[in-house]
Amino acid sequence: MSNITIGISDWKVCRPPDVLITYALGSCVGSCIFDSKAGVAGLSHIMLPDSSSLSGRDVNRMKFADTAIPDMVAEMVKMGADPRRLQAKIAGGALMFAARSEQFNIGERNVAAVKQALAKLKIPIIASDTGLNYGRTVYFYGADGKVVIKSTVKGVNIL
Amino acid sequence: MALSKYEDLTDIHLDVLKEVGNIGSGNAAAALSTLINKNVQIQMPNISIVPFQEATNLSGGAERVVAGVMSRMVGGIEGMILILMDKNFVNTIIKVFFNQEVHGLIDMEETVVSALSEVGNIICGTYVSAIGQLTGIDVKLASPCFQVDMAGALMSVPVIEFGEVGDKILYIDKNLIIDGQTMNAEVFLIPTIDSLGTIMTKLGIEV
Repeated sequence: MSNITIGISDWKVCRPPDVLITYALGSCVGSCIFDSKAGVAGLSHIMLPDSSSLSGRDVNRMKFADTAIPDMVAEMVKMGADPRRLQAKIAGGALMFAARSEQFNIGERNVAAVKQALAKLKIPIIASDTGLNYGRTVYFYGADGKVVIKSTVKGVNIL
Repeated sequence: MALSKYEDLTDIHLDVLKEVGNIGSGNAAAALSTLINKNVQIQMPNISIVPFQEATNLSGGAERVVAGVMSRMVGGIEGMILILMDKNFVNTIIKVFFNQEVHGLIDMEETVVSALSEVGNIICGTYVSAIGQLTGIDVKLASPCFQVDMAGALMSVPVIEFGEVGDKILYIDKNLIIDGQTMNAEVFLIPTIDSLGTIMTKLGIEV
């Protein structure tokens, strides 16, 4: 069993019992997608909602919810996951600095974009821990889909 | 060619930013010394333009708990500046103002938070005035926000804000020696790409 780390603007897939980890999600969103029967799991760490305004430019598809999630799911299907069996758990999307001057809440927009991307693929979200104002580290155990979220402020939460 | 992303910066541009960092760090040491009435030395800061993937891992990992003060630059230059202070640094400040120390950074008293925000804001101001000194552009700071959390989560804020135009940020890591004790503060200076162009043009450097 090995631990696989996913950086910011990155996604990786694995076969259990490998564990997928992404550290210190702030306004970014981590999406844990799995098909336990096929034994395929993927974790994506996006930082922005939507790549469409940058069309035509050379973009890092792993950075945006609208591109990262379908790309990762396609890879999971290639590895034998059944799209109809896929389920998701999501975490992150916090507002780290609450200021009146913040015109828009990027964390909230990231969560909305991830939900939209998953809905498009008909992947149900069975649990989530999003929003509020603190960072989260995510440990994703693809074997049974367990997600352990650690935060400095709120301790441990298990999805 | 206009600057459209941080990756387009040439060595000359980077040198200018490093100079801003150097002047700012010198100013910061002086301001801090006046504020806390202690001898503040600053080691030659490590100033680099780094992919943000790496920035979180540069000093101690994404999960280390730090106090962050974030301010927005407004006026002639727009962007964001973020300062991360480690526990030693926080305690040094608190000791001066309140003659006490904290065991952890979580759940600090309101008065302590407000003092730390102010110190953070003063340090932010020294970097902003460094831009002003070099370019003559009038830059102001909006009121600061304070948060204690994992360094990686706090850093994601400026990184995301400018994530659409590039994958790199200006990172200044400096060790401060206050009364013989070494402590660390990291500064992330993130002018928007348009403002970077403005800085370079003001200095007569081709963009």
